[in-house]
Amino acid sequence: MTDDAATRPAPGAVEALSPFELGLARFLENRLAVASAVVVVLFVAAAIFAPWVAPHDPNDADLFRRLQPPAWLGGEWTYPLGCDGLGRDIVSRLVYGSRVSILVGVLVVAIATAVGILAGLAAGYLGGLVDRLVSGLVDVLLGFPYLIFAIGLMAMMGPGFQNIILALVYKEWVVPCRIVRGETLVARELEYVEAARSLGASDRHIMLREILPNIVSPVVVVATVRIAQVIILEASLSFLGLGVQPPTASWGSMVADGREFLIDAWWVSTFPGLAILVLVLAINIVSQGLRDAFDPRIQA
Amino acid sequence: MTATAEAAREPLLLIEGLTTTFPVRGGAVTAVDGVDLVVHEGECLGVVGESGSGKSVTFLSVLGLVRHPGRVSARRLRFAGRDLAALDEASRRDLRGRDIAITMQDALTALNPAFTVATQITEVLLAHGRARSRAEARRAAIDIMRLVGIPAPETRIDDYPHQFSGGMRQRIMIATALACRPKLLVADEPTTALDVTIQAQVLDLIGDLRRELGMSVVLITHDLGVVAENTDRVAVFYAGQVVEQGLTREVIDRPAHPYTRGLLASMPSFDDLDRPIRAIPGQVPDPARLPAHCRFFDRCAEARESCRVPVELREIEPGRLVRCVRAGEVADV
Amino acid sequence: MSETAHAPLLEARDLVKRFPLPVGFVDRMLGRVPGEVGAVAGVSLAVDRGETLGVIGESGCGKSTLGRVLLKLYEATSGEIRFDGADITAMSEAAFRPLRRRMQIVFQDPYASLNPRRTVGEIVGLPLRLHDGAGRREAEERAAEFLPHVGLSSHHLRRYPHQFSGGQRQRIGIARALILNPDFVVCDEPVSALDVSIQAQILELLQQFKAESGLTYLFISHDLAVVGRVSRRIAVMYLGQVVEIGPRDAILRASAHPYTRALIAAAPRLRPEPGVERIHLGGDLPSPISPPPGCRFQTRCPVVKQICTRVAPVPTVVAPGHHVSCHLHQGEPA
Repeated sequence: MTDDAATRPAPGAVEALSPFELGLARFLENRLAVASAVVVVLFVAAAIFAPWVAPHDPNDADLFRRLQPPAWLGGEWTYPLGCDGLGRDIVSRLVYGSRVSILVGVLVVAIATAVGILAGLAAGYLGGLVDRLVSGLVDVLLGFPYLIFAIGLMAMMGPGFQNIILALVYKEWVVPCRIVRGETLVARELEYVEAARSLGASDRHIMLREILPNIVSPVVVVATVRIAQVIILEASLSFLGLGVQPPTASWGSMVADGREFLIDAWWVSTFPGLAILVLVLAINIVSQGLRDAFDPRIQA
Repeated sequence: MTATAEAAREPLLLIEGLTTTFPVRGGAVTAVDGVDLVVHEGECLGVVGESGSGKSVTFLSVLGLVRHPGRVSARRLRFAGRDLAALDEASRRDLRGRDIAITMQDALTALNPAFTVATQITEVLLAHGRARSRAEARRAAIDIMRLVGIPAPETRIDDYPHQFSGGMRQRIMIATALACRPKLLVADEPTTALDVTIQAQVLDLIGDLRRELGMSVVLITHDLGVVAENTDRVAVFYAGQVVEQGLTREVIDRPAHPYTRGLLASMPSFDDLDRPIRAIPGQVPDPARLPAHCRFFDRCAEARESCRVPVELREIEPGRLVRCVRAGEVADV
Repeated sequence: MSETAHAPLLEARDLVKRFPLPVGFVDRMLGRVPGEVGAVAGVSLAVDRGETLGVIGESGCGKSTLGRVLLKLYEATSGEIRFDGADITAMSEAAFRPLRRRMQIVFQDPYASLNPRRTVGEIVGLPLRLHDGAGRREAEERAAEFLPHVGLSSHHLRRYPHQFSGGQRQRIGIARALILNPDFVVCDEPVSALDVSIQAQILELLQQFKAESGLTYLFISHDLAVVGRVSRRIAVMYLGQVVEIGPRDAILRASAHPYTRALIAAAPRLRPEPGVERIHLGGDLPSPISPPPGCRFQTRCPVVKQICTRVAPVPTVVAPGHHVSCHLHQGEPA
């Protein structure tokens, strides 16, 4: 017999929207989150289109322009935010510096998340020896304070872009791994996973095609927050001289460069510091918005 | 009629025109739509309906437990001669637990897992002034636990909810509800989560206590068998309205509303195991988009064009109410 | 040759399933052996081709675990399972996989048994992709063709589970289980989570499939009336064991075991049945971790005797096809 109401959507149903589209719609209703997302997009765009956005060559030093103040404080409008200790345009260095920050942030978190997901799925679903190994590794790594660990690694490997990525990934993968493992442990007991097993699905299918799509949400939200964290870490490493080496611009090293001039030429440290603040704040608001929009517990 | 005689005939709980709505995106959901119900002293009223029928929300509304943004309105709402709508929040809180008590379906989540049974029961007693000291409250709590059949209450009173089995937890919830000897106990699906043998124990307990304490009971359930065995009168809910009401025996033996008939026909029965069960086609209407006419229309085997009108609850016999334009015409199964 | 035609489709012999209790790290280091919960404690039964065997019991009796062990969703701790004559107990997952298309399960919870991130088409099409090697498009097409058989329509194909009601989701689950036309289906409380008026729809659907395709069901439920309606034979379980098994009418009208009697007396009835008195079972269910020696029902049995506390009863014959494990019945061993 036919369910007469079969052709009508179920009570209260929305149009054929996937859970993802529903979450996206909810996110778009959050104006603050959307505004912050726009800010993030602007930063990213500036980073991508740096050669066109930056008014000058970031490494163009001219000692005559040394410590030139911002335009509204007696400087020139061609160098709107002033110049640093070597006469290099701060705006241009900010723009090129964003490349480093954003690239490091995104790459580290992307690699760490990929590794963490695989490790977490395996540990959570397969259990046994695999779980003990992964969890043991996670517990050991968690014991090290992040920055000191990174500093130690950098000291061993030497500075440079690739090494920063590696040093940060070494510990960063632990974060998504723990989340994924926890969620997998829960998902593993759910009946739709049992159903897949009863159909003879392989472990690989179950982990990647049944469980993963359902736990990806919290992982993505945490990943966005971690990007902000990593940006700060990279800035800290650069501030300490362990990051990208001069003359490459990095917000952290820019802040470090301006240390000596904090009183007389405050703009050298302040603007890169502000850039970090604004980007990190925007990313955090976006991730909060994502969490509110995609949290399965706050269903309509 | 003298004033006293009239007061004696006034029901314990009188609900007239109760409507509860919840605003949702793009409209409102009317969970309870103009419900009229009466509970007499000392009786057990069964309230039957499926999920979304409004049976639980009705009593949550009466008790003032529906939170903003839900909105409750009623033409009349009287309990033990007092007008409930005129009460302020403090008085209503007094009423809850002391004169009217409610138990929920899932005892594990309804009881606070962080507190011992002792704390939970004595708190109720002290809050309503039924005991003057903690020691007195504890004694009274042990008495009630014994009354509801919890073995070794003196020792078990200091245990936590998770240390009890499902049936025992339900009894604890009943004990908490009865601590202040309320006049009315609303038991919301008290047995749905329980095994059949435990279910029987709990229902028998409620029946015994009703007789011993002279209490009235509202038994909310989806199980017509439970209603048949334990209630005096029954009200059948569908899509936020009462569609049939009357003496339990009569409603079960001679159902007047097509929904009630459909429910009975779709339940396998012990008496005649090979009787074919006939499902009610379709599903419950969307509570956000209820039709103005009979809500059972789409699923009703007896529906005619003349049914496309708003239908009132009519008394077809003394004490027997049905919400169906064809109630008189259609022969009973 | 003619023997195999009448051989049961599924047989279980002395099936045992124990779950180890979680043990803390420190306890493990101290050499403490983990305790065990005996969910299934020696079950033997046979399901004939084309019949519906009902399994009833209350929570903790092991009926759901039994269903899963029979389908090798859990590894049996000991005992034997034979499907269509072949011993599948020790088969590896790889060897057993092709047989899975013939043995399926319908789950109780219509909300948890469907992957919320997959469309109906993907859910119902998954068995086809796993066993028939169907590609995505082909699987979707065949799923679309099959949906009307369960009372849904092909334009539900691209929708997600959350857009359906409980009854409709259960239909999706049934479609997934039946699309490969299995021989044997475990129905684990398939209607318990549904509203009464929808239960009948789903039961009708299951009966319809059974009639059309000659399916064999193991129907697990705690609802006696429902089990009575659909089953030809009924097995009653208590604390991991089958205490009584027999034809439906024998079990429901002339039961031999005190527990079965109590269950039947406790079930709420629409009309009072003369001669059926409520049987009060004192006490709570004993813990499945350390059941008492002798009969497991002794702590609650209204007619318990001395021997019940010492010797565990074995199945004896009450009537042809009707066996009971109880010292009250002295009969031929089954």
